[in-house]
Amino acid sequence: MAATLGLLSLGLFGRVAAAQAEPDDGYVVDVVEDAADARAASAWRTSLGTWRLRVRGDELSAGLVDVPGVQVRRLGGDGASTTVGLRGASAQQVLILLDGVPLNPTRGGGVDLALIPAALVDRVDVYRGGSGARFGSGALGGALDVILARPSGGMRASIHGGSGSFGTWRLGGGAAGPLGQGGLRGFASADALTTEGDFAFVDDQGERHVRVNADARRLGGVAGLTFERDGWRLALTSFTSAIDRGAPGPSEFQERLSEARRVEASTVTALTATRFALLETPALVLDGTLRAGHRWGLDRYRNPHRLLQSQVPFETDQHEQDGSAFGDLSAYTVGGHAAHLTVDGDFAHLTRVQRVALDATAEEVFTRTTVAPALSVDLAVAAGLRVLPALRAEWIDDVGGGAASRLSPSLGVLATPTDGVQLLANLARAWRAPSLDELYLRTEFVEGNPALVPEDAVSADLGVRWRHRRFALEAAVFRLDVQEQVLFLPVSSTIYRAQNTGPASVIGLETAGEVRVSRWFSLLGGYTYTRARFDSPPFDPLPARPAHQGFGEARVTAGPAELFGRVRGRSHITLDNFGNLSNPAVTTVDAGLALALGEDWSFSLSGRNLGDVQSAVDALQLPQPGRSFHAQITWVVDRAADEPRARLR
Amino acid sequence: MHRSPGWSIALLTSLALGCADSAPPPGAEQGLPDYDPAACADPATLRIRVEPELFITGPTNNAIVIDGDDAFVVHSQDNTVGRYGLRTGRWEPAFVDVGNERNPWDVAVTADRLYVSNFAEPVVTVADRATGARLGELAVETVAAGGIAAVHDLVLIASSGFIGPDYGPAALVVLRRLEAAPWLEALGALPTSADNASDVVVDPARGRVYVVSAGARGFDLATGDSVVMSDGAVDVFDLDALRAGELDRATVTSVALQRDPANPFAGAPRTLVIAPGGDVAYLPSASSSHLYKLDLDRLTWLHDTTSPIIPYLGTGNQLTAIAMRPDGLAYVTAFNQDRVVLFDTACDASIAGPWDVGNSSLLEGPLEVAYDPVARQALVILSVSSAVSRVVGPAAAAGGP
Repeated sequence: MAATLGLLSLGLFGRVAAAQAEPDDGYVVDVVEDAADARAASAWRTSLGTWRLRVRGDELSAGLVDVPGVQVRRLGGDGASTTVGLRGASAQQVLILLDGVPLNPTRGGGVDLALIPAALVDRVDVYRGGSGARFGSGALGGALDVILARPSGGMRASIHGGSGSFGTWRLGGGAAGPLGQGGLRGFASADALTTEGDFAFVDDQGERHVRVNADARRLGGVAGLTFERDGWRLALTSFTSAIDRGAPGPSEFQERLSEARRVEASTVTALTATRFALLETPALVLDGTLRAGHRWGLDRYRNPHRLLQSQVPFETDQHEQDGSAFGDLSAYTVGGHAAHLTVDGDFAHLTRVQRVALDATAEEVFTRTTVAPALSVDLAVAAGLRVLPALRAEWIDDVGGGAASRLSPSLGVLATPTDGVQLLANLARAWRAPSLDELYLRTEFVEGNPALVPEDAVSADLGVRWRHRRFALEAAVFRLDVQEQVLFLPVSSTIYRAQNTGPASVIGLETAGEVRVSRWFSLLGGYTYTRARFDSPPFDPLPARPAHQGFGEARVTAGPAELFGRVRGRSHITLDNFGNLSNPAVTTVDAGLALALGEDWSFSLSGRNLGDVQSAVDALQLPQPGRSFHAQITWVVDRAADEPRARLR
Repeated sequence: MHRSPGWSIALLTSLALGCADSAPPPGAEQGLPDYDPAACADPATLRIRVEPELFITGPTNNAIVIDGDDAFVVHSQDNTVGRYGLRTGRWEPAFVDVGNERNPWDVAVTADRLYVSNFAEPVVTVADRATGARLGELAVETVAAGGIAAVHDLVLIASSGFIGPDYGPAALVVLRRLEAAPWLEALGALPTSADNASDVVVDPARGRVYVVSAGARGFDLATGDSVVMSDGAVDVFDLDALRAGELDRATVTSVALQRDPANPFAGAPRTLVIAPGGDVAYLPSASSSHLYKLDLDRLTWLHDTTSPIIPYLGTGNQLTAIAMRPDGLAYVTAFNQDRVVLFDTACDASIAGPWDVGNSSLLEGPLEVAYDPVARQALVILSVSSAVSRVVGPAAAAGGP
């Protein structure tokens, strides 16, 4: 399966007809097995394959929203700022990685997934539930590992182009193949998005408006080299993406921020060396991995207009550089046991330049160092029963009052009472060091608080997975308790300050399933119940977490065509910390088709929100687009003609 | 000048009905500043009931005005004015839609009209009081308008002059009401003696108009505090001269409220509330737990920044509001504490409370309070939690109406 996933690389769209013969690639339920890493054996992991997103010209968020336990918050249409929460945890309490390199800005705020084009991604592994033992500080609610597309097989090339509502255009392509005969391969691909984002919406007073200053221009690319020989695998990958977009104001104040712009850019480079069978005896096999990563990020905001009658343009530049190193020794023994010893470290350097007067700027520099060894063990204690204890020790040099360290233990149990049925249970502790903004930000209205203490969390879950030739089902109940949650809250009529607000808790239920009714017809669905609230009277709900959300999708495959129809819904969401402001429940309908045109061409047409719901928001006065259509055409040429067609997906 | 925090954050970045019945026995032991009980009403005779979050408003409520059987709530972030029926309990959150980009600040109510001042646009909105229909709006010479008042055939607006981070000239903008479109006619503007004109208050008994200027406020980067940067003032204008359109003879005098060099938070008067009898007025501070007291006969300070009345315990940057009752009692709110206290003008001290006006563990931010004399209740707007709480009672102070 890993090889199959590799072929999803380069933003290539495979032939739709070929999809009929193959099982799905894990759109909803995890059917991806990663034999090289058993640490996730008991984790609630969903691997979101991206090929359908690419075919339909969708963003990553369009697929993630259907993963159980995920709350997507997108502040507009395509290209708009997008963050992801997990199991009621906020975006800041979810760790996001790109090929294993942490993306979360040290300054805070969570990762904007709009910066990562789906066309460059092979899959997203969503780890639901506290994952501190594996990923470290910040993974209270879980983690997402975005796996970039990589080549395998023969020479390949592709081009895709599409257009849609609201002035949206996409163009991209890539090429990959062997470089010589020595085991060296190269790949490169790129994707561009431009959208005007000028969708219609209805405001709280029922008036219809057009979104202003919601345009976006994004260019992303990935290039890399891989080398495999004699038990070694070397991979050098560099991902770069930049997005220049409007920073629209609340729907009631669009004109006032009609020229506000935000530019974000990110470059992630990773060099990974893996030595298989570093040590091999009859009783044990030892693999080793070393990875050096570098991340550079830019976040630039400009608003030339007067804001709040201010004559000083609002300007902020934030540059962040991270150097990280990761080492892993994995031992596999007879009897099916495994152990993983890792050590990783990170050094972050943040520079913030802010205009404080018409003729003056202020510059601040912050650094943060993290070191963490971890050990995880996979014990096959009995037939069909595996126990997975893990422990991570983490030290961070600056969390306000000084250094902080935590132990993040976890214990997982995986039982397989019968073929196709898995029972999973996990108990874990995780923590999050306050971000540098939460500690040190100082603006006229918002300020950090060096006296903050880290968030600590305990999570637990229990559930079942049941796979059959014709269906796959999973259901889990979960709980997350966060101590000393950090929020920016008012302390006076003029100042918002980061504060530890005490405990918060989440309980919930996740279900997902797929039924292959016949060779040409399948049904998918998912439902998540989440009750997330402050744990002190009056137990107000945490904002932007719907109690109920879910979807149902039907797929029909007929000859070279695949048609889908989908209904998504969520209950009302609260938009403030008091449960007082809210947005009503929303139900949307999507539909579309993908059509293979001969050997090399394919075409897709999809419609989103066909009911034209224009009153939905993901945050206060930040509206969502109504009905839209998107068409895309893709050309793929593949020299590896002897490979099964199905693998082209 | 006060700026409501939610509005700021929303642009810069980004219903629970409760009842606290059977209020605890009031008394200084709950955290009131020391006072002389002998000079004040007996708190043991005063019964108060607080109903937190009586109803939910639009986001970032900034002002509340009670007139007859209606309470009007201005929603700065929603660009609306809501109407609450004090006898019916009916709430209409978008009774007036003043239009996008306006950022309404305050509302003045007459028998047939509503006049809304707008902070972010130099226009005043005119709406029908009975239906809420927007009749029109007039471009006016305001810069970051604050409070608004209507008296006789005049509409008066405090123009703060805020052009951040500095302050330009502040003024009293004078308009004449018309019975047909364009509904208002500009008569002119009169400069104020201090920066940051925040509110305008009519004193019909004395034939005066008071414009309260908070003085400049600024952000101290070193301390992270919002501090008072210049003196405040009360400018006094002659109402008859204003009505006659003779603006050049309307300015009577000004009374400066000097800063206290020892206290960077002292000063910044928000508004002026005339006490029963009309002899004195109380001015709550937008930056401290202070009330300043002005002798309206002599136009001199009885309590200024160096000798403030401290109605509740609170240090650092605070925000205070006050609503007066005919019996001389007053409701004073403390933004940072989510509390209300009962203040007695007979002894210039808080005699009962404090009571929580919110029901959350998070700050809800009481910003303004208005008094309903019919039901002897006060409504408090909570600007952070977008709610209105009700304080019922007391029945009346001894000897009061």
